[in-house]
Amino acid sequence: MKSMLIIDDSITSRMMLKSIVSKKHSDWKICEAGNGEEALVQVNQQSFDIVTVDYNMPGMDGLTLIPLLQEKMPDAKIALLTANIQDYIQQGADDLGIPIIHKPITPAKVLDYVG
Amino acid sequence: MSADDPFAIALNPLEMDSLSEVINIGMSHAATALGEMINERVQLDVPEVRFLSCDDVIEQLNNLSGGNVSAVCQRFDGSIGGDALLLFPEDKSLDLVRLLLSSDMSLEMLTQLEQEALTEVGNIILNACFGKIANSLNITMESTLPSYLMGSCEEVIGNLDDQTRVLFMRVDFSVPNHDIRGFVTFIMDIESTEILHGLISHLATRYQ
Repeated sequence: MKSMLIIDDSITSRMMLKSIVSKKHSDWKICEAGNGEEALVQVNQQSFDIVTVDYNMPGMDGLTLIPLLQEKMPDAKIALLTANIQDYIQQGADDLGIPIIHKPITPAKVLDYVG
Repeated sequence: MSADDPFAIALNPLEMDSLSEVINIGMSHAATALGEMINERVQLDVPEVRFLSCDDVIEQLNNLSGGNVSAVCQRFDGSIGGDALLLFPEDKSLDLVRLLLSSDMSLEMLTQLEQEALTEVGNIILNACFGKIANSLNITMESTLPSYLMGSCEEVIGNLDDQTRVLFMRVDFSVPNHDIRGFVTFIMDIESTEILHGLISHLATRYQ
């Protein structure tokens, strides 16, 4: 059984992502956070195997949050989830060594990443 | 558009063609994103690109939407800045949400999620469109969080202050059998319009 944290300010986005993953992995523990601060509270309490991080959120953005998550959970598999396809976002993700899942979320994209 | 029109921008035919092409690429990307979201084929018409005053835009949108609209607004800032708006005729927005979310969801739940879901749709469509445009022009534009607006075209456009010129990109996208259509506009100030003109001019001459 794996644990997953979905960090996204959009309820719709979290709902869709959770639905796709839980249909394939019904035994996984899937948690949600609506922004970076909420996510940090959760990772202080427990570790996660897989984390998806939205880029554009209230408070800190995804690329600012990810190094903090990497520090707390060096073994976690982390991906940036964003609708922003601009080159500077890709460069930021490359610098952190993480993949990008481009919104819109589809089962194929999500399952390709989470396995 | 007459030469003394204060909202006119002096694009030559090649520059206008380049601007239309850049917008077409952006909207094609946005249509692909929408198609992926709702798992349906999205049809795009040839984009209409014009620079208009806010009043003219309101008149155009009233004619096209036939009444109230649902809109998602997102501010883009960088080399050029402006407010991007994705507008749907209000009576069609719930149909789109129904297509996006699972069909076994109750009408009550769908209605509760309508604004939130449309905001996320707008976020994805506007970022797909303007992200592609920024990449095509080799510039960077950061976007704010999207916000949802609903009301008459006057109310929606009127929420945007101190804007003098609208890059009105009317792109009709439709989903066959669902009669869903929408429009994208980009509201920018004179300074941004002039910078955009320079970028388009540079792009156009690169291929001459």
